[in-house]
Amino acid sequence: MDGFLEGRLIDRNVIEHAHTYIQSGQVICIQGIENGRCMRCHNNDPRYLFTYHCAVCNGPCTYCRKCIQLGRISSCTTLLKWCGPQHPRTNDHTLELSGLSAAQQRASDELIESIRQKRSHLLHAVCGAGKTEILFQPVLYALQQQLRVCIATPRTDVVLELAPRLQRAFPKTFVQPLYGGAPVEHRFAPLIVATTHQLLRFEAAFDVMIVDEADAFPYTYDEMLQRAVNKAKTADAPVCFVTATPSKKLLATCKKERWGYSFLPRRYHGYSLPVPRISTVWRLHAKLQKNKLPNKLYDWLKLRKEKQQPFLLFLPTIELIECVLPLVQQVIPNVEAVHAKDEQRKEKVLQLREGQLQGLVTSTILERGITITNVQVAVVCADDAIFDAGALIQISGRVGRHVHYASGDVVFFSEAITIAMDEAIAEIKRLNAVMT
Amino acid sequence: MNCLLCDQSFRAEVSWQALIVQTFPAVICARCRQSFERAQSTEEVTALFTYNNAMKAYIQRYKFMKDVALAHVFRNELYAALHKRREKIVPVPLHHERLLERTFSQVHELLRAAKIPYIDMLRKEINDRQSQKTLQERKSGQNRFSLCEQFDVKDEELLIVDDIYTTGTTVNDIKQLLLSNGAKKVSIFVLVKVKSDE
Repeated sequence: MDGFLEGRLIDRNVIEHAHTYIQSGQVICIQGIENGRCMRCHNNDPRYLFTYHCAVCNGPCTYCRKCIQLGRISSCTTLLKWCGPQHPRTNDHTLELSGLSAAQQRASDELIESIRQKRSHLLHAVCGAGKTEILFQPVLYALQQQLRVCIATPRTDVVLELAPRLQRAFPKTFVQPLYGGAPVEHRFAPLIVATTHQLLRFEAAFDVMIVDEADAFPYTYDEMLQRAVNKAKTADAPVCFVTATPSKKLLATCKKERWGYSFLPRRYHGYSLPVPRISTVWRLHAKLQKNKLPNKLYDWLKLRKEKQQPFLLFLPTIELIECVLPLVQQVIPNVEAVHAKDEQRKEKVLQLREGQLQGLVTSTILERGITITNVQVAVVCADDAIFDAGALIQISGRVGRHVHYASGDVVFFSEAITIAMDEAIAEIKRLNAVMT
Repeated sequence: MNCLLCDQSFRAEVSWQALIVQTFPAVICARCRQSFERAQSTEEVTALFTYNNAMKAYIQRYKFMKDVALAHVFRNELYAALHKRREKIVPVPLHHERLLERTFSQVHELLRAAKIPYIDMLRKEINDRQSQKTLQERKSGQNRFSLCEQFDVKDEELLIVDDIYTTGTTVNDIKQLLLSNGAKKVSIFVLVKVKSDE
C-alpha cells in the first residue's frame, strides 16, 4: 500500500486505515477546497464551484464541479498527499523488442537523448508510422534510470489498446492501466498508462511524462486536463508529446522552447498514406434523415459486401448514427453502431477485429488508436463542423496500416467541400511528397 | 452561461412569455431540456417527469455523485406546479445517518431551489434503502416514518413531496401515517414517476 500511495493525491475516505498513515507522518492532509481553488484539479473558476448548506459541516460548503466525475471534492473533504520515503525502484526491466525500421530507430534514439537531457520532445509521426514501438526503448531507458514513467492519453480506448501491448513488451515490469472503472492494484507501478483525467489523482509523481494523441479531444479543449499533466509530473520532468496531427500552437511551442523534435512522414511499411477522395451527394443530410440511402453510399457498401472487406462508417452525430444504422443493415446485416455513450464499444470493436462484424457505424470516437487489417473508411457528412482537418487525417489514417494491405479506400461523402476537407487532403499529399 | 448538464455554452432566450411565466433564468440548454419527458399524472399521484434515460442520468449525478447544483434544473417546473397549491407541503426526509452520508437531502434542496415553503414534520426512524430492496420486501415493510411531536395535522390538507415514485411504498406509508393522525386530505407529488412496466 505504501508504494501505491506514492505520488498520489487521494480522498481520505477511499483509503483504508488512513489514520495510521496520517499518524506516522507519511502523508499530509490537505483541505479539498482552499481559497476558492480545488486542490485536486486546481480549478478556481467560480462557475464550477458551487456552495450549499452541507449537513456534515452544518454550514456553507463548496464543492468542485469540474472534476466531480472522479468523486466529489468539497471543503469538508480531506485529501491525502504522500510525503513519505520513495518506494525502492527495481532495475530488472526487460524489453521484448520487435524490429524497428531505420526511421523508427532514429526517432527512438532522439527521444532517449531528450529524456537524458530532461528536455521536452515532440514526436510527429503519421498514422501508422509505428509510434508505440518508437516509445519502447525510451521507456526502457527511463525505467532503467529508476525513473517513474506515465503514458497519458485523452481517450480510454487508447489506454485499452496501449496497456496490453506495453505489458507484453515489458514482461517483468508491472504496467498499471488507469481509466474510469479500471481495476486498480494497490501497489507501486513504475509504468502507468492513464487517461488524462486520471492524472488528477497524482501530484509530482512522474519523472517522464508521455502524452499520446496529444491533439485529441478533450485534452486540447480542456485546460483542466493540461493542468493535470503538469501537476502529475515532477517540476523538471520532460514531457513528450506524440501525435500525427500537431496543432500550430504545439509546433510553435516546440520551436520556441527548443524541444527535441522527431518527424516521421512515412508509415513503418514504407508505403504512402491513402489519399481520401471526395464524393459529393446532393441533399445528403436530408436524404439520410428521411431514411433514404443515397445511391453513391449504397454502391460503396455493395462493393464492401462483394469484396468482404471490413469497414468503418463515420458520422457526425448520434442522431444520424441511429438513422443510418438500419439503412446500412439492409445492405449488410452484420453491422453495429458505436458511440461515446455505448457501454459495449469494447466488445463491438473486438467483434469487428475478429470478423464477426463486417462493419461499424461510428461517431468520431473511433477516429484514432484503432488498427483493423484491410479496413475501408467512409466519412458521411464530412462537411460537418465536427470533422476538422485533424480528425479527417486521423480517420484516413485508419486505412492501409498493414504491410499486406497497404492501400485502401477513404471516401468523404458530403454536400459541400469544406476548408477542413481541403486541408486534410493537402496535408496527406504533402506528407506523401516528403522525401520522395 | 454553460449548461449545468452538458457544459455546452448556451444563450437563455428572452421572450415576453419567458419574462411573464418563468420565474428563474434557465440553467440548462434547450437540447438537455428536451431530453426529459413529461409524465401523465394519475389520481393518486401527481408527477412531473418520466424516468427515461436522461432522467436516470440526472438522478445519478444529482443524488449519487452529489452534484447539489442540479437541484436548480427543475426549479421552474416545480415552482409552476407547486406555488399555487393550498395544502401544506411535506417533504419526505432522509434518515439522519443517510443525510450525513449524502451531505444534503435531495427533496429539500429541490424545494429550496424552487423557493417553495415547506414544513419539516416527519422523521425517518429506520435507516434503509428502498432502491436496494426487492419488491416483496418493499411492500411488506412496517411504517418507517413518524410525525414529530410538535406538529398537529388534525383537519389539515397536506401534500407529500418526494423525488422518485417507484412502487409508492414510501409515500403511501406517510399518507397512512398522516391520515391516522387526523389529516383531512393527503395528496402526493413527485418529480419523477417510474412507469409500472419499467
